[in-house]
Amino acid sequence: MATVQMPRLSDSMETGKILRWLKKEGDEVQKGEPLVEIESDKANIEVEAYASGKLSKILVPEGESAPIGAVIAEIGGEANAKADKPAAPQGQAPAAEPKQGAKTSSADAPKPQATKPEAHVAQADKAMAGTAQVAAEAGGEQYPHGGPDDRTEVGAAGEAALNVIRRPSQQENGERIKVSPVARRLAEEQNVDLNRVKGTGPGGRIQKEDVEAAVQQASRQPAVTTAPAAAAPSQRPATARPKDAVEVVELSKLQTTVAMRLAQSKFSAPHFYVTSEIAMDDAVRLRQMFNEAVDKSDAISLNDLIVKAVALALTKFPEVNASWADGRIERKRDVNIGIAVGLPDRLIVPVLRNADQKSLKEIATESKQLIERARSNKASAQDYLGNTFSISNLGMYDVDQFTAIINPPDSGILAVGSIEDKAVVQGGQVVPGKRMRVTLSVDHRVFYGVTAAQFLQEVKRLLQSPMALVL
Amino acid sequence: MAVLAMRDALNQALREEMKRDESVFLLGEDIGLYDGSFKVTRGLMKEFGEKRVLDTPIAEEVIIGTAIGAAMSGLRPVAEMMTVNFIMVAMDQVVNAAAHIRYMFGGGTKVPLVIRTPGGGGHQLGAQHSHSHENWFAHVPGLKVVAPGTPADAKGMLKSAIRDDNPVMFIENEGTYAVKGEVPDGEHLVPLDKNEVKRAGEHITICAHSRMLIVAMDAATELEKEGITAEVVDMRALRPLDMAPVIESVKKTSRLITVEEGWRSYGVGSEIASRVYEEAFDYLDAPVARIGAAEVPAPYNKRLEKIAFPGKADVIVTARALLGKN
Repeated sequence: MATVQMPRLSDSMETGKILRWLKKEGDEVQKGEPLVEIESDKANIEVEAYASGKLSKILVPEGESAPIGAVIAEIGGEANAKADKPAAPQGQAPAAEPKQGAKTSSADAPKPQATKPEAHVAQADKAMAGTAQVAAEAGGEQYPHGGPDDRTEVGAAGEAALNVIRRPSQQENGERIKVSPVARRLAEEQNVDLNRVKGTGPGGRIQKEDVEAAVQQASRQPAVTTAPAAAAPSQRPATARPKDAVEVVELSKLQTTVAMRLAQSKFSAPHFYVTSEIAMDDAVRLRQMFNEAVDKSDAISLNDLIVKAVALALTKFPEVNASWADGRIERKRDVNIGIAVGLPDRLIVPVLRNADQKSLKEIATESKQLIERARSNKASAQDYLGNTFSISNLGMYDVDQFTAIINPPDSGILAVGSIEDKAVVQGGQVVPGKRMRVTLSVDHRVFYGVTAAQFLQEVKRLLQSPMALVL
Repeated sequence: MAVLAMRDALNQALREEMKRDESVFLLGEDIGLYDGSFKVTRGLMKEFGEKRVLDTPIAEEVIIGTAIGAAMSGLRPVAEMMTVNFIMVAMDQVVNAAAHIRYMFGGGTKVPLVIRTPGGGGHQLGAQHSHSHENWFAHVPGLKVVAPGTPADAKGMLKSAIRDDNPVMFIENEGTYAVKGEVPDGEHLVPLDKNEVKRAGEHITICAHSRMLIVAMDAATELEKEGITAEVVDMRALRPLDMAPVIESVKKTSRLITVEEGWRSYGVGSEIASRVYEEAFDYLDAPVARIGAAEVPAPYNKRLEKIAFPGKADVIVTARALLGKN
């Protein structure tokens, strides 16, 4: 059985008057058939039946008025027992108690079914009748013609907001922790290590509560923690120092770049180091002879010999002349040697291209020009690009040995110490000898210990038999 | 204090102001003989006569243009746009004239004008008649924009708007005219630039205005049953936008949902979220969640329409999600 309610026929209508019943009690009514003529404050409108069946009862006679939502008739289910109840628009009351009246609760509203077409509603005004079950009486009518807010599932309206909240957290390659702004601030204030806090927010985000919980837990175990709660908020060491005790040095753009790239290299490339001592007696002698034979302007340095030796060794070890590139290894066909040059305010690494194919004289001339351009700030960007391996030489500063950070995108760098006069054992005799310690830093992702050792042996062989460098 | 429907509270404000100041007059379509399409102006033509309650032709540009001229000449017109959907043909008058004239004349003339107009959807009136445009107006310097959600505020803000020397867009909602609430009798003024916490809570802040305020309040009632207390801030003052109660609330709750009946993109919630990021970033525990109408022209189909406009379910589920409770 279905009830017929007084429909809302205009925005401002509060009650409607029954002008004429078009069916009598006991008549069969078909869904969609005109049933009753109603007068509102705006117009007289014929209202169709929203259900089929016998018009069992007329509750409001002609000439009388009723408020919106009031039950004005009942349509029994005898003639059409399966009833059209589920297809009835929201406003037509469901098979609820006949005397339900205006206060029908939204819980009784029929769930619309997609399978049955709704009765055709010609005008917007008529469509508004669909909301009649909202109480018209004092205080109850919240949504006069939008229908009751009875949707319990999230709608398209809310989905966009939810999609943002529920978006799965992106896979981060690094160690970035997801933490909300307030949690980050609290963690700083309370000295909480965010690495030790488990995030319970969407996508595992660390939230305020998580930090607060960590603080509480810490205060329960005072012996273990650094007592953030117990100490006064002013115990930061920096605040104890007078302000002018620290001189703040702003970095140039170049220094910032160098700092970032070195940090990135050191923290992302797993470094290991191999050190070897090279007998430099013959190399020193060769250089002396070479420089005696040529004009002063063509003189070579020991570093030029080292560059040449390293370049030639790289042609035999393509696995060293290579880069780590996002999970793959790129082997370079060119051998371009970066030469680290320390200047008072910066570190630069000009690149000597195709060093393996150049003569010692060419290497010497070009290095001088490169370094001079760098010192006088006249170098072009090209001068710093394309390195495949680098050399850092602190030999002139009296260092025994040191380790260098790989200069990206290289996978190796040779750190060169000073040449020392040492007592060495040769053929059972102690004799004076010139010795130089070099340390190779290796990106372990690109090549391994044995290759590193063999490469270093080749460099050593070339420097100890330096005639090969002159060819 | 009487319990009045929103339409009657507005009616009371108009009547009181017309009695108090004879330079106040009304103009609009069907507002006189027919008492207004939503009965807000019921009885006023009878009481104040045809000179102070003008039935106009269906010509929005004429209505607003006339009102601007009258305002510049010393009257205090209250123009009714039957719905906000019809104001688009008059946007030139609203923006280029009403909002800018006082500036362009170096303050030499003022425009004490109120444009009352209801927006909102959900009534199966189709895409062209379901708009919420408060963000369009709130974008424009020179306009004041308010959108009350309770009968008391409706009365108090309309009275303040009529007394203001600047053009005020007074945004009503077709879905709230019958909403009832207590309304103070007589002189009751609510400032045009103050937003207000309508319900106190601790776990989450919900910002809403106009009909969505009711949705937010209903959602807050439901959420409380689950142990989630929501603080509801009524954003009735949209321009100038009073953020103080929102910022204060977010500093307490760390989570914010904005609800509006219009589309999300470039919406009221977008502006609120930006302000919160600027002023309270370090207090947030989650990104601001914006709820608004689905990004489609409003559907006519009843079921589609129902999911296209925000309801309390959207607010409840979003609140739970923000709090990680589902």
